[in-house]
Amino acid sequence: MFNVACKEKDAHEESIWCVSWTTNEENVDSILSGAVDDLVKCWKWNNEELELRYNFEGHQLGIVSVDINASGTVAASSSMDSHIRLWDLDNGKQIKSIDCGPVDTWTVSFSPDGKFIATGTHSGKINIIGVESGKKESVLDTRGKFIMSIAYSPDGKYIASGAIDGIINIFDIATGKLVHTLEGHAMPIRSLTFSPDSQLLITASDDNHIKMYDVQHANLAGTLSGHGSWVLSVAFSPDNSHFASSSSDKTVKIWDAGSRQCLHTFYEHSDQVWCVKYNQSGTKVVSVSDDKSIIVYNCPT
Amino acid sequence: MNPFSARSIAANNRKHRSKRKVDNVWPIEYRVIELQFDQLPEGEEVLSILKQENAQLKIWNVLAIQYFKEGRTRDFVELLETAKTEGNINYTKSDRDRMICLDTLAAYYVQEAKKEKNKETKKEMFTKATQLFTMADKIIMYDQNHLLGRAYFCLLEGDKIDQADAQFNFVLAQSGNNIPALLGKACISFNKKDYKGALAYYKKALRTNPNCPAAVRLGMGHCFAKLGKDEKAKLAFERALQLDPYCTGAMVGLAIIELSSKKPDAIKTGVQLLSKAYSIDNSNPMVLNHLSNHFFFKKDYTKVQHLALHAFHGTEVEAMQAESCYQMARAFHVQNDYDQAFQYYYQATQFASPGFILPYFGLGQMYIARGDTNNAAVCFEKVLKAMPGNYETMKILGSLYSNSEDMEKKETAKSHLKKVTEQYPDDVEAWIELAGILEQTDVQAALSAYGTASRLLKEKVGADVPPEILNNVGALHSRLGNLNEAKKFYEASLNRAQTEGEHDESYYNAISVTTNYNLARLYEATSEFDLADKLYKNILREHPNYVDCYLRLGCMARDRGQIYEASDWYKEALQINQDHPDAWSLIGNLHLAKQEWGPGQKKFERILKQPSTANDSYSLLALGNVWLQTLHQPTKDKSKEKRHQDRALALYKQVLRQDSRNLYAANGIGCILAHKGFQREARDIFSQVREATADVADVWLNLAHSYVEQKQYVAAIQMYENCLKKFFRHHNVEVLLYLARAYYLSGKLKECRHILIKARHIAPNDTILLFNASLVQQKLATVILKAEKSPLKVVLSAVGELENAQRNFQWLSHHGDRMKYDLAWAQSEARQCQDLLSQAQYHVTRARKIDEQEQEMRRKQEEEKESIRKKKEEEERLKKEESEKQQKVMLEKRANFREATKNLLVFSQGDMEMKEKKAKKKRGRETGEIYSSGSGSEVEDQERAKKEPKKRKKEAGEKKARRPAQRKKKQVDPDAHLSAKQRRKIKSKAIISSSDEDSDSDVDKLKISEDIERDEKSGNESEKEASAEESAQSSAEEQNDSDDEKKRDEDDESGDEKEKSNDESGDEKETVEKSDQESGDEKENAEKSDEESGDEKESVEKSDQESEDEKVEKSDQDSDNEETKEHESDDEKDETKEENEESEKDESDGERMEAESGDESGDEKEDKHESGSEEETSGNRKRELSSDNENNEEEGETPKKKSKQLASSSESDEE
Repeated sequence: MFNVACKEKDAHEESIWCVSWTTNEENVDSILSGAVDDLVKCWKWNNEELELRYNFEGHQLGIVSVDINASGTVAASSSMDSHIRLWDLDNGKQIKSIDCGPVDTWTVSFSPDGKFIATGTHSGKINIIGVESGKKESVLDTRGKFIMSIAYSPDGKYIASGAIDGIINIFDIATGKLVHTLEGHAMPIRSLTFSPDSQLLITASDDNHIKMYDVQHANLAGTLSGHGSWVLSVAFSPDNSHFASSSSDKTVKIWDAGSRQCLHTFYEHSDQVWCVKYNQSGTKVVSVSDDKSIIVYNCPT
Repeated sequence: MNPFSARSIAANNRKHRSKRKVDNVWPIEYRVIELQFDQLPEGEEVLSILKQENAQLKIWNVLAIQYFKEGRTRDFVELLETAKTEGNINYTKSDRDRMICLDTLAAYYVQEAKKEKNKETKKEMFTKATQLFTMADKIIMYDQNHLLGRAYFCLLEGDKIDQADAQFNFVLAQSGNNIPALLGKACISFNKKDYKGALAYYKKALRTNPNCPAAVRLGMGHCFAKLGKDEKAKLAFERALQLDPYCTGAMVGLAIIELSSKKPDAIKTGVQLLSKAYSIDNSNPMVLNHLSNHFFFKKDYTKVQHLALHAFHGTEVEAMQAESCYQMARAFHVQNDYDQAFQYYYQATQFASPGFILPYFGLGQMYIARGDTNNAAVCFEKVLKAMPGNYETMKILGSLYSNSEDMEKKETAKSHLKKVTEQYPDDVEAWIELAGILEQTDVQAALSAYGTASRLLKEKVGADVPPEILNNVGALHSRLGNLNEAKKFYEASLNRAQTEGEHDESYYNAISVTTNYNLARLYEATSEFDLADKLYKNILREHPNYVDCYLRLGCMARDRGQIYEASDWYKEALQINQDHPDAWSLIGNLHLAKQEWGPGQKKFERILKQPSTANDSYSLLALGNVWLQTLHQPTKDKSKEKRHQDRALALYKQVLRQDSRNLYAANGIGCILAHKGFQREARDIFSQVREATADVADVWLNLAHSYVEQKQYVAAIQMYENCLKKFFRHHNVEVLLYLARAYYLSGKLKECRHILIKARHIAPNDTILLFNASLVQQKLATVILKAEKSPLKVVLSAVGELENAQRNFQWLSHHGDRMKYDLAWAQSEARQCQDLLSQAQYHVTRARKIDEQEQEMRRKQEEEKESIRKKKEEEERLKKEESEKQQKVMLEKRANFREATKNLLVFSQGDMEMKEKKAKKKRGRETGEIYSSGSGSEVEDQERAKKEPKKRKKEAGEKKARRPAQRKKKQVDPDAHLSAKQRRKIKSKAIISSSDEDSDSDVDKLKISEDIERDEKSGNESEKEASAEESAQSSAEEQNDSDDEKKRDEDDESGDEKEKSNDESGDEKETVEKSDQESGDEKENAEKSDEESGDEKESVEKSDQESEDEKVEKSDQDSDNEETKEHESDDEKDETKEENEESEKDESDGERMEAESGDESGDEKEDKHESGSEEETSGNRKRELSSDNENNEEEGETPKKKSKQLASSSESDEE
């Protein structure tokens, strides 16, 4: 059954823009939310309820993106003040703050091994930053426009970036070479994600469409429509067969990756839904919205 | 559809019988004159004999009549003709015989004329008869027989009925029972439709002569039939037949009665009667017509034609001919020979009497068959006029008019069809027609009409609802937004079309194509673009000429941002139809969206060049908008600007001429007005358009822009926010920018920053947003830093933001978009940030100090309290001691007194020391501040001075840019984002330059109030205005501080108690003033509550208040003056000293007013809480007093200043 497991109203004082969800080795479910009120909040998912663990302060101008490393120990957040801050989820302390220079950070994404953070820049470059060093380790240049979204493939082979003009680039990390350029969209790509088996890439764009690509050959596997406005976020389920999307039309949709059909639509939010994420088991989805709420849904697999 | 009914035809024929009366009545005259003779010789012989004998005329007459009776009419005529001249009239009473001779001959000619078909000879006969009658007139004018003859002659001529009537009356007056006259009268009455009167005459004739001929019975029969007494009519006809077995008239009458009884037997008898009549008189047109009518129902159309043609040639009476033509036309009509039918119907209408409308009905149908709906409508209008409420006709007219373009006719159609459906609620066709008309005007009603039609079809007809109706119902549902319902109906329609398709494949294919197209549109609406795409392409595979599909595919591509693909689709459409205006419009819009004005303009001009679309409102509007757009590009060329304005205006006017209710043109004119500076008029127009429709985002925006222009920021902000909520599911950067600008202009920097952050989140690559956001960050940080009381945490974050802004500006100065703003500007802003940052360190330390100080202060306060407590204890102790001493040692007064004063002195000295320490600390801090902020403001001023010329330009540009007059379109969607970029660009400049404006006003204020004391202006309170005042403040502070210190020194000297009491007295006075103000406020509140009735009004009035306030601010408000006066009276002695202070006070009051007006313009809630906030103020004041005026908070400062002045003045009194 698709239903709402938990609804945390007024989780932040302002619009919530990003969320992330991981379980660490001690089985602590951590949900991280970032909002315009400059706070990153760390919640513990416990007994079907959200329990506030930490308030991470320090950012300015709104939190654009949050991510948690695979082991669930370190969180990264970026904001419009051009800083990436790393937080220790065990003790709630800031590990370090990385100044990326003006306008040179947007979405942050941990590499699968947790050693690097990738972020896009205004000039279309992907900066790979070492978590330990806090320094820029390498640069991949798409020679394109502003990079709004970024994703590592779970097998660590590829990194994909979506630009504001709708161009998607896929790099081979090992060689640092650009392997594919996908031009299916003509409007900003606000989110993209690989399937857990790293075979598929799905992209969300302002053109109201979601596209699905075969990573190996860069073939378009499908174009999905159904959202009535910008698609703001997509997230793949760990079971490899579902994915979730959220949109400015205030809905969250759950899709079947095989048939490419929409299985369910949630109309729970009262404003744009900026981000969705699956939990580690793929049984639940969390969404955050301009309406300041965090909602967790039960999703049968 | 067979529009003919036996009943109506029978009714009709009866009417014609009236004419026939004349024929039947005729023979009577001759039978009245009767003589007996045996054998008659040859005519020639008799003639010669009579001539020779010079016989008396009487004999001529007798003989002639005898010949007539024998049937030898030639001899008869010859005899009489000769007798007329040759007859011997030399005998008495010969006059009478002459009369007989002439009248008889005339009567004969009349009868012959009646029989004669040839018009020429007929006329000749009539002339002869007239001559004879005239001759007779000269002999005996009033002879009865003569008169009767004449009367019948008049009757026959047709147009002299009145004359005939007069003559009959004359005869009847002479002899009341004159049968011929009675019959004549009856005939006239019958023709005048006075059937009862006719019947009365016939009855009188019958009473007079019970054996009168069958014709009388026949006439009575017709009268009965007319009066609806079929039984009596039947009896009369039967009696007539008994009297005259060959009376065809009676047979026909009887046959009609039998036929109209509609019983098979009766019809049979009727037909038998008719055939009998036919066998008797095969040329009687009436018989022929009725027979043909009969054969029409027998479907023996050749016979119909034959008989009717025969009848047509057999009569002169136009009504009869009309009927014959009608019968023939009908026959051709049924045989689908529409050309022939049309001809005969037409002829029939030419001959027909006004009451005979059936041919019009047929003719109308023929016109419809020919596609000539106008003439058809005319025909049916005639039918409807003759037979109001005729349901068939109303239905046909309804469907004719429903296809008409004319709105009025559509209304008639609607009313016709409504009547039809009311009369016959089971008429499916009418319901469907009605629904079709309602579709355009009343969707809901149309739906229910279709619903009724479908129900009827299922229940009454037992048929399935046809796919067309299902499709239409689906379309209506989708128009109402019931997308799911719509989908159901479309799918049902497709299914039906498929099953029906077996019968008529091409037709049902066409229907399913339309339904598929509708379904695709529906999928678009539900965002299932993939399905829509598939359907469109499917349609195109089978029907490659379906232009709309290409256009929709193009629009979908456009909405995906794939401009080139969109353009390809549109061009595809153009290959099918070179001049398709929609395709050209869409291409034009693509160009405009890319700001390619030239090519876009050409596309629309192309549409206008086509004669069929020469007046296309959409293209005219688009062109007008192109000119309007060019106004947004800053230009120095005033004449060019004017020219473009005029062109745009001309185009909008043209549209309005064609359609005076075109909102988009009105909106465009509003934009032009705004450009020309007529803000009020522009706003009026926008308001009106907005009232007319709430569905066009551009109007909301324009209205909001107008509010901004008139400084009604609250209303503007509300408008922008509503617009965002209503029209955009996602954040629209452009509108967000407008909103941010409105916040900025209204001084709400925090909200402005918030909005800009959201905008940046959506378009992080937009450097203009970055610029604006950085600018606001800088301003906000400046305000926070300048505010002395900002807590440490806030200061630190402000410094952080300042650093951020500085870095952004630095970056922008290298990487910004050169096309959109001056990079050097970013550079200078970056420098300014740098300067501010260099001061920031000081502010941080200051804030730290304050932080520490506050803690220190708290500690000190504690100490003070402690010391006061101790002092009191000491005093008490002293008193006790004193009293003890007094009691103890009265004699040692002197020594005791000295001791007591010593103690006191020691005490006050300690107090003094404490105060001094504090003052020193303060001084150090303040001098530091003065130095740094002073330098800061100097730099600012210099920079501003440098910028000055640039600013002018920018402002000029801004004025133009401000009104990002929106493109108004019929189709909102293709244009919604038309020139977003362009406008955005201009808009952001507006923000930037408006910030300059603010600083301009700073400079002004600086001049006005250079030496004004503003020291306690605190940051918290002045958030709204601080940005405007910061520089003034800092430069003014120097003086303040010295004043302050003086005062404080005085205060210190005067000791705690004194100060307190002074302050209290000050307080009291203040509260008096306060209460005055409060009453003022109450009034204001009262006004406000009035205003609350209508939001918009309120805001308008408020804005008026605001502007008033502003005026007041400049010219020193009345109330301020009053206050000043009060002070003057209080402080008369100090006038010279106070002069400066007074002006300061005025200024500061002005500021306070400003702050209040700011509050007013803020949320209503704030207004409501105003009194509450005042309480707070007084609360603050008390706190301030207790903490030695250190904690300046919020609004408290102005009153406090006053209290201080009072304190100092009272001190000076003491001095």
